[in-house]
Amino acid sequence: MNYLPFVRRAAVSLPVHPARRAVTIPSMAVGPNRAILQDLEIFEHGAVNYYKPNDTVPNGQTARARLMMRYGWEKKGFLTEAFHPVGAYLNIGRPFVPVWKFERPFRLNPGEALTATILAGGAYNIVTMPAESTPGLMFNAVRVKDTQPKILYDVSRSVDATGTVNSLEFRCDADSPMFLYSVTAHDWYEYNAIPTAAAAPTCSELQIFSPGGREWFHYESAPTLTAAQLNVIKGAWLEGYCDKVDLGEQSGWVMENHESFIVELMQQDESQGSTVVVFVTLRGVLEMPND
Amino acid sequence: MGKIQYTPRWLHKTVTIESSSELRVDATNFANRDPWDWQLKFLSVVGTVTADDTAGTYDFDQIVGGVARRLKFNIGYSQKGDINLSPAMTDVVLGCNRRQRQCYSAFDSALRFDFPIPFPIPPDTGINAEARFDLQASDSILGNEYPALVLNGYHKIDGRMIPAQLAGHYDGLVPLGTTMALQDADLWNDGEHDLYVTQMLLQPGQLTTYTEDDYTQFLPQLNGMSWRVNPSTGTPWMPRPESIPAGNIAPYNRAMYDWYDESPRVYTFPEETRLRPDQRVGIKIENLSSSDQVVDICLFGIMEVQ
Repeated sequence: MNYLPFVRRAAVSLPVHPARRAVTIPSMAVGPNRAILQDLEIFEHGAVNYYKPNDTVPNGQTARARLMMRYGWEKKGFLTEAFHPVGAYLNIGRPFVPVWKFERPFRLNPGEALTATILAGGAYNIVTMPAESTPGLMFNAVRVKDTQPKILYDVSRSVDATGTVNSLEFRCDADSPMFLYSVTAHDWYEYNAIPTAAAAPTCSELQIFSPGGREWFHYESAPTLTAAQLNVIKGAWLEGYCDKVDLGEQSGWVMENHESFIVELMQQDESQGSTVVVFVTLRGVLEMPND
Repeated sequence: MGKIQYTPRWLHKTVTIESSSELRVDATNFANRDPWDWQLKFLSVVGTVTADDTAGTYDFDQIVGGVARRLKFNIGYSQKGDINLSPAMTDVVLGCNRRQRQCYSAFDSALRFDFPIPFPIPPDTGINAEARFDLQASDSILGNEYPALVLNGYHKIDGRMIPAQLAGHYDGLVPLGTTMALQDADLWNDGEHDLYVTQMLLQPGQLTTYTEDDYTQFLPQLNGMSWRVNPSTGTPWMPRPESIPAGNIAPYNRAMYDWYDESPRVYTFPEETRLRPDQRVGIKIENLSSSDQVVDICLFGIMEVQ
């Protein structure tokens, strides 16, 4: 059995109270296999959901604390009847560097390679990546035959103009499979920036492909959003913008092929009184018996 | 011997230690008055760092729920001697030897408490919860609304784990110095099976802003909101009719902008430390600071109810 990491991100335009909007993420599982859900992230486009001290005057930030949600399985019901503040569900801290530890390790066989594409440069809101930045990715791995730790690393070889797409490759060059436990990124976006994209195409993007060509990151359609808002969708999924909701198999968060995960959102009546764009990101691993 | 029900138990006391003096905390506050053993887990301390006792110069150190460093602690079984051989400073004896979670986002992240042993909530019973708001510092408080509680857990049905959740919040501003009961529609197990809670999340429900050097900070206060959470039936978790600061209940969290590490302090007891019936925990605190220090002390353990 192999476990393929996946990320599903959807965006929703949320009107003022009492409107509700739901985001449904269908199961990626096929046949008898399952999707193990790892964590859930909610962030608001343009809001200060991040660590770094803000250098602009924040407006209505307290209103963000009043975003409410509930979640569960579609057609089977939510875990709670009422909506509760998003912050009350957040139980995993955001690490200081972008890192994703997989719920289960991914096996890379000899000769196989993961590939990735990264958009160079990129500007997130007011923070532009330095011109000399060369984005890269690193996978932490262990070789199966002798449990030797290995690092798979690739980085852009040159300083490219903003908007250039770089391809990276991570090949298993041993005569034994490797288990990949985590991935970290550097220099491909300003980690502490406000998640507000500048105009396309200056926003960073990242995609990782399995040896079979399958994309790790997938975004659902979000037709009501602007181009700039849509750009946010493509970046910062390896590690997002704020604290997350822990799911995990130990709590029963396993999705069969006929199930769908659903998150419903609502603003409180005393909130800022305007439509906000909320992004929902679900991460996990997919069981792959023949991979 | 009957089946053991492992029940969480928090005991809390607020004390004032005058400047340059020593206080022996009345050990009856931390006595095991029940006929069952306790497994002691931690002793947490929160407070408000006094202006002349911060490590740095920024005022916001004072509102993250921390305790002055110039306190000397001595902990032990009452009338049995001290655990530490010599009194040790706050960040030594109460230096956290476990990972602390960093909390920060504009959503006012919850403080996380993991139950050492899952606690069963039987069908048609639930949780009673109330939140109290106390201003702990002079800085402006922009919002203190919607304190919220989430209990994560699971049902075990036919061998399969089914995610389950209890949750409640107070839908409005909690006035200063007031206690409000949480909306309890979702704090009840209306299923047909026991619900095992594994984790409690306390959202302080307040954002504090403080501006310094053109930076506007958002700080979750860890001692501004206090809680009293109890199962609706059986042995209570927090037996006294008072609420306990969030940082005391869940001390393995720290505020993101706690730059000088003044966050709630916690002493983690070694495994198998037990408090037998009628035993008491003794605490002696010496204040080396030139100002009085108010601290909230909380003892947490698992009671082996039979």
